[in-house]
Formats: sequence, structure tokens, C-alpha cells
Amino acid sequence: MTAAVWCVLLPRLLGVTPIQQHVALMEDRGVDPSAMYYTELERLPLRPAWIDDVIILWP
Amino acid sequence: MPEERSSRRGFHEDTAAVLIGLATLVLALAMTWLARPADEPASRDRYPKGWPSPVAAMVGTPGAWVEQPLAAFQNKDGEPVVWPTVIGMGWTVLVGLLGIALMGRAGRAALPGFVLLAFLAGLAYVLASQKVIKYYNLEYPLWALAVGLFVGNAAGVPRWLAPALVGEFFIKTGLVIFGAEVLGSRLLALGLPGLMTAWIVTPIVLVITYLFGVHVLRVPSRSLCMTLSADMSVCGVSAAIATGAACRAKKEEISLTIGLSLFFTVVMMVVMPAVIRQMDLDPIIGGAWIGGTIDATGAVVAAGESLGKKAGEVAATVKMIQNSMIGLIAFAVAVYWAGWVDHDPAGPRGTLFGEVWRRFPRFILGFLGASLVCTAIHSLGPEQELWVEGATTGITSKLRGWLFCVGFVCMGLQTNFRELAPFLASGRPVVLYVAGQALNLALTLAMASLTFGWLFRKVVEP
Repeated sequence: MTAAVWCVLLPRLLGVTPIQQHVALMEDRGVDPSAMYYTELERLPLRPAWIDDVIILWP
Repeated sequence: MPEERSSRRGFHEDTAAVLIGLATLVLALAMTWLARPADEPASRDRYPKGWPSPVAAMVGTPGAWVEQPLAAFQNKDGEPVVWPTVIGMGWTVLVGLLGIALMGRAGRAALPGFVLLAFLAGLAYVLASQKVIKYYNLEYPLWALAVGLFVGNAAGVPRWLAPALVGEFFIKTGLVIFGAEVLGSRLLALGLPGLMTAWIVTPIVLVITYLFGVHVLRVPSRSLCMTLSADMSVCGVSAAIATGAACRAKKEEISLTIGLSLFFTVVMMVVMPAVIRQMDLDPIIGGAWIGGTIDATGAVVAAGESLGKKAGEVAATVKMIQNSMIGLIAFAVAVYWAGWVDHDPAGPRGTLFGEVWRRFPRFILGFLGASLVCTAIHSLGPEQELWVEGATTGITSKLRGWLFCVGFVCMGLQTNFRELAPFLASGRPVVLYVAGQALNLALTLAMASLTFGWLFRKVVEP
């Protein structure tokens, strides 16, 4: 049953357009949605360089 | 063959967890230091995730796969990369044996059990790395619990496995190691607006949700209320693990919290970007809203990125600030629990400090100690930042992941479906989660709009 779900049903779901688009977008952006903590992300979410132009971080 | 008996007294489980956890951190930092690059060691551009280490590639988890599970153990060129997973599994066996030895128990009797647990943890990782599962944030703890529940309830727990079922020890050791990733310096990543969004809203939502669960919904278990509130208001599964351990939540309560959290995370990951687009929200405010509300870090990034690069970056950074609160929150919960919840009014009275110390979960000190020491090192300069990040993101995050995974397998094995039923039948945990998350959504949107949208927004000259 588990094998049927994981090896047959789930791969077929990848053919469903919204799911396919979601996975493709995440792969394209290098995002790992399964990360439990920020240290597991592909890129560490440090302060973006552009933020100082838009937001006053320390008044 | 006569059963092995240890004639020496062993350490307490918490002490064993702290000793092994801290030793692991010291080794990881030492190995990363010894392999430090000679070329531009302070360059963030060159080493975006910290100093690389040859040890980092030795430990890993199965990769993503679509329809053939064996593809999880091959790289893009079709070459087998099974050894990092085997070493990860072996690591859990090693920690189990060391822990048992430190606790003064017979190690040989537990070895077959640890090997089976390692295999089941590997299976959980394989299940979690199927692409649809992975890209919809159904994280490995869910499958570790499910594997354990299925095996435990379908086949039962054989006697030879019992000595190895030290799930709490694995979780505690993993938490001590995890402490090194909880860096206080991250709290300042988005300055005052980031601090306000994370530090004002999160404690308010956590406390109100907890009190709502205890006094209004009258959920029988305070530890379930606390674990669920922390999971929902802070940062998902990692917060549930830390606060659940701090308030001595039952394994069924942590299991239920994780299941609820991951279900709603998937829903919010899909729905929130659509709502934000519909509301025509500014992407920075939208990103901050996502970062402060969706539980899981990976899901936050996924939802933020679907709105655009800026929203994704803000969302991820806000979530990282919340991630960094785990240490203080776990400590506060442990103090509160030891001093006020576990307190026996009819028992002998001592000083408050004495009472708290007596009941305080010692492994939290190891967790905090690791956090404080690594924060101190990380704050010294750019080279030290890359040193700590290399050791944690490259080595220790994978090691503690394996320990959490095997810990959850143990929890699943020791949980009876019937014990979960009362929690599910009443529906109150679901109501608690939804009510708390509704408050979280409202307050975070208000704070994000106030800080990122108005108070600290720079006016752009036309």
C-alpha cells in the first residue's frame, strides 16, 4: 500500500499542473521547502542588500 | 548467555545528552577549524554557507526522488552516494551505544535495537524525500512518527528492541547539538522592525493561545497547550521539539502537535500567497506576514518565493529571527514549568530558585550553553561567523537531524493508536491551533504593516 502511494500515486501527482508548477518554481529558485530550520536552507537568509534602501533598520 | 550488567552507576539521561552533544559540537568546530580555507577565509561571497569541511560531505540524507526510491541514493550522474546515509545511520547507533554506556546500562543488549532504529530512520528519510512530499513541506519527523506508529501497532515491539527505545535521550542530545544553530546574533538581521515583528507578536500569541487552551477550551493537558502554542507561534516542528522537551510533554502530545502543524503549514503555504496577491499587499509586508505566521522555515521560503524574490528574502529573514528565539522560549518554558506548573503545593517548601532548580530539565542548560558559546564566537568577526556556520550547516545540522529522526521513530514505536484517539476525538487541539493561528495572522499582519509599511519605511522622493 505504502509502495503504491509513494511509487505510483505521488509520481502521478507531479503531472498535475499546479503541483508541477510549484515544484518547478521551487527547483528553479533553489528552495528546499522541507527545511525545518534556517540552517537547512540552500542559502542562509541573511539581511538582503536592498533592504537598507527601503527600510530604516535602526532609527 | 547471561545478560550484561553494569556494576557502575551511570549518569542521568540529561547529563549523558549534554556530554555527547557538547562533545559533538567541539569536534565539529575543531574539524572545521582545522580545514579552514587559506584563501579569503572571511569572504561571505566565496563561502556563502560557511567554511567548507571534508567531513560535511561524509554525512547526509537520501536525496529527492520521483518514482524510484533507489534514485535517492544516486547523484545526478547516476553514481551511488549511499555512504553519507549509511554514516548517518551509523552515527545514531554510535550515539545510542555511547548514551547507554554513560547511563550505566548494558550496551550489547541494545545494539540490535539501535541498528533497527537506524534502518527505520533511514526509511523515514526516504519517504520524506519523495518530491511531492518534500516540496510540500511534509517533513521527516512526520514520517519517522508514522513509521514507528505503523511498526509498533502492526507488529508490536519485540523484547529485544526495548533496551534501545531511548527516544527522549536521542531528542535531548539532538537538542543540545541544535543549540549551536540558535544564534542570538541573528535576531538583529532586520533591525528594529524585524525585532518588533518577531519579539512582540510571538510572545503575545504564545501566551494568549496557551491560556486560551488551558482556561477557555479546558484542554486537559497543559503541556499539550504549551507545545502546540509554541509550535504555532514560533517556528513549527523545531519549536515543538524544544518546548515539548522543556515542559515534559508526552510523546503523544508532541506527535499530535507535529501532525497538526504540518497539515496547516501545507494549507497556509498554498493559500497565503494567493491571499496576499488578492489583497494587493506590498511584497515586503507580505513577506514579513508569511515569515511571522507560517510554521515551517522551508514552507515560509517556498511561500515567500512564490510571491517574488523580495518577499521571499524578507519572509526567510523574519522566520530566521523567530528561529533564533527558540533558546530563550525553551528556557522560559522550562523555568515556568519547573517553578509553577510542576510545583506540588502540598509538598515541602523551599526557595523558588531551589524549587525551579530541582525540577529544571538539565539538558536545556546544554542547549543554551551551546547557543551562547556559538553566538559569542559568531559575533567576533566575519571569519568566526563562517567558522561557526561551516560547522553547523555543514556538519551538526545533519547529525542532529538523524538524532531527531530516530527519536521520533522511538516515539512512534512507543505510542499506541488508542492513546492518540482521545486527543483527536475532542477536537479541542484543532480548535486551539486554528484560534491561535488566527490571532497570529491578525497581529502579525498588523505589526508587519505598522513596521515595514509605515513606521520604518523610507519615503522615496518622486
